[in-house]
Amino acid sequence: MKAAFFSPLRYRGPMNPVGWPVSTTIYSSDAAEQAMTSAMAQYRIADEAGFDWVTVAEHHFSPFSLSPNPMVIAGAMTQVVKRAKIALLGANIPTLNPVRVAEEFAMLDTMSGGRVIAGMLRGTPNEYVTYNINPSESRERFAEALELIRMCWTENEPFGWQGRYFDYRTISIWPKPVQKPHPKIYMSGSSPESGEFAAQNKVGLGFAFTNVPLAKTAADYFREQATRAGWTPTPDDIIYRVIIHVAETDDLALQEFTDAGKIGPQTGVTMANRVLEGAVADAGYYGRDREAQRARLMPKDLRERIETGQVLLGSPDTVVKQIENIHRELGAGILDLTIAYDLGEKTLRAIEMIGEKVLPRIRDM
Amino acid sequence: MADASEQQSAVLLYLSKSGATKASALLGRDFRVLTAAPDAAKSMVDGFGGAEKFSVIAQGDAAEQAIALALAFPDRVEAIALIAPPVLDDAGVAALGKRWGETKVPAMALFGTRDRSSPPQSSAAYRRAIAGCNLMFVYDATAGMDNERPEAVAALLREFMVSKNRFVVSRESGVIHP
Repeated sequence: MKAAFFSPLRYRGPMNPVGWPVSTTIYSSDAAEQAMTSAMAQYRIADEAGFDWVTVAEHHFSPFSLSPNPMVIAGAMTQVVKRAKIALLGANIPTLNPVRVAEEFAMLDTMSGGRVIAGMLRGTPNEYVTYNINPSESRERFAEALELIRMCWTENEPFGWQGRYFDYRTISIWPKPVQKPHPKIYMSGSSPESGEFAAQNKVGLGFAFTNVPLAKTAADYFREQATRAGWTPTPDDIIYRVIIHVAETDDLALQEFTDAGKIGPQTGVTMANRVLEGAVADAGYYGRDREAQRARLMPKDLRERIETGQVLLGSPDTVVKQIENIHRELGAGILDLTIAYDLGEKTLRAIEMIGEKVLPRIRDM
Repeated sequence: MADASEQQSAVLLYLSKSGATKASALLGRDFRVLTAAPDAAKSMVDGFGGAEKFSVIAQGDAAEQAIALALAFPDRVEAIALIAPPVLDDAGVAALGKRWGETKVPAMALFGTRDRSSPPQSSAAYRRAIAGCNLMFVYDATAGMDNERPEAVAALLREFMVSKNRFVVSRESGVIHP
């Protein structure tokens, strides 16, 4: 099993974290800068500690994540992360210019010497409000954007594109990706529609904002659909994102995690504005298992989150057992370990402890 | 850009084995579209009266007739557009390249992203054979793109027939709310 390190670049300064989008009437530029500096230090240490990947994400208009453009932070990471692969999970491609996305991924792949993982995501429901895109067209825009991005990476003669949602008269991107034919692609996939699409298009699947039972159902469906499409996913075709905090003892880990959780937003970006989320749901964002998808995004208490594999919390021994359970149930080859709260030195210590006492014990799973 | 009356008098020779298509019907709003079987192309051109300029759109294997017309009448053919033209192997590229030579007729080749017989990956051969040939990929379409996505294909062809190689420069206003 491979391990990834993910920092959401959470803002920890003064704020009034109500709803979404979040007002910046109370805001500190210094705190935002500190969050980015701290994240970069975490990524560097994670690389040195032996993590296989470091990951970044795209979220907007919230202190939950200061990474509206993961390409920017990934560009900086290419200069400090010397060994690990750099995974962008993702770019939210239905809401972006696909040619620009292809160009930026190719730049990063070149800057990193071919270490980029290309996550292509639909984005959380609220992201459709960010750039004023109709959520009901999300899946169709995603499918077209993904095909166009692949074409940008692999075609060598200038070509134009006459799409439904995107059109371009002539494209010939420079640089091209280092990895041939292109970087490994993942998409997010908790819904049946996503599992079917990933299987038909032979891309990897990532699970986030979910739990092990739900992810297992979705992963099994993905494998079944892949078989029907004529291929067999490997463990590396499945990513499971999970929050982690490790300390010397279970009690200390719990104490540190609980204390940190009292500061800042108590929900993720999606459910911070229920009216908006409802409107996006009504527009058709979720697909045919709409209520199940919405339910998985609702806040849960910590005990339930630990029991269902949403949070890994405790000493190294405890966390290894929790990971064994995830691996046994889900068969994921990539565990995307998320630092939910930046606890400064405690977080850096936790990363080093994971590298020293957890990663060697999950490597052969 | 040509004004409306100029466009409507411009002749498009639409070569297709299956006759008129949804895209050719849409183009008929802006151009004089003469639909013909590929074999009838030469006789149709003879009937134009000698001096009239025209453009050629060719579906599938009719690409050969479109190319032949461009080579035979380079001063009369204003542009050619090849919809899902047949795959060219290296010998085909060399042969067409030799025939085409320095011909200046603007050319476009359209490939459907779901087309298994003439896929986008085969498009580069046309760029090598016809210098400056504009390669266009029509998303979610097969060789029958002019019936599957007629609005998309007609819009693209309209732009190209009006602006020729300058079609790559957008003339669409970006203003949303004046």
